[in-house]
Amino acid sequence: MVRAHMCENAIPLIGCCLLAVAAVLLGSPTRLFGQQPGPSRGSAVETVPNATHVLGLENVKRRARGRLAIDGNTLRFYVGLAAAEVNISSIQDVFTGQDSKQLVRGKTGMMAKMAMPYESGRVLSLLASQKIDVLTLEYRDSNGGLHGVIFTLPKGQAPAVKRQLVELGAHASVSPAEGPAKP
Amino acid sequence: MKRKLLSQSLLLAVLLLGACACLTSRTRLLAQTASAKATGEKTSGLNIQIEPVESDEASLPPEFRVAIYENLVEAVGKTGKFQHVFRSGDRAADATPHLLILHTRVVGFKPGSQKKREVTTVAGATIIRSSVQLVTREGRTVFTREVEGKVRFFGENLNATSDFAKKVAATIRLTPLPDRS
Repeated sequence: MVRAHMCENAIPLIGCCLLAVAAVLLGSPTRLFGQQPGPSRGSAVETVPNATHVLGLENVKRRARGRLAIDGNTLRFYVGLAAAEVNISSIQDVFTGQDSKQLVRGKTGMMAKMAMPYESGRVLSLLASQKIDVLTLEYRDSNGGLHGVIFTLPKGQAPAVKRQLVELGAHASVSPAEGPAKP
Repeated sequence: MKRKLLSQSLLLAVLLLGACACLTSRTRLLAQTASAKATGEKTSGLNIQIEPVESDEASLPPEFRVAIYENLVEAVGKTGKFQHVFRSGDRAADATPHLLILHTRVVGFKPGSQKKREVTTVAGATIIRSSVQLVTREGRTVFTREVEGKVRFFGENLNATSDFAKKVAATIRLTPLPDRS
């Protein structure tokens, strides 16, 4: 009788969790199992929205979200009204790669996943992830000091940005024609 | 009787005020001495230059190499043991006296997976193992250590580089550095 009572309580809980997972999957701005259409091969990239600064830029917080723009000979990262810039001719190397990120992340997301009943948080971690591109730059400042910057971009954007940077004078040990490094 | 009480209370108030004034001035002197001591430790005259990360591991992604370098620059600066932290290639370091140079070589890398960590908890750890060497400008070795940075249960893979940099900074903090002479 106790077991039957537990089963009666478990079914609505499981149903709520499945609804939550479905809401995350349907509400996510990008398709999880398909490819995101990127810019065409020959088109110039001027602005990439939804870029994230992972680390490296001075006076910009880590994990800041903004837009990456190529403006003449300068690469700019806009966060609100503020912007950080890198002179494209000072870029020593450009790398692209692919990665994935969790849609539900951070300390709050982690706590929410841990609080979900019947280990359904693990199912959410398994299903709710998104493919992203990683753009890594190495450049020299005016004193010759080496700096490194890492950005994450929506899937398919990094190769076009790299191509544009190399055309404008950035150096790259791996040519843009070669594919990005896959995880 | 009332006059006596009044004079005694006035005397007591003056004595208390005097005692408070003495205590305040003594505390201020102590704070100044402590701050001078603290700044004295930070401005020990030593400088450090961080060299780019080298790797024996072909599988180390470039973003990890860059993240280790940037996190080292930040973490070593926070130790407070150096007057200035120079980046590799900085021309200002050429004329700077008492310069130490930090070399990092990645000898082992396990990429791990955030998804695997969050689904299984026990699997998917990202581990970076490196040999870290601090030398003087003349080439004398101050220390050589194997340091490991990792992220296990929760967090992104790049957090392993931050963990690594903090451990290197802790090693530097605990190691007696050469005198300026």
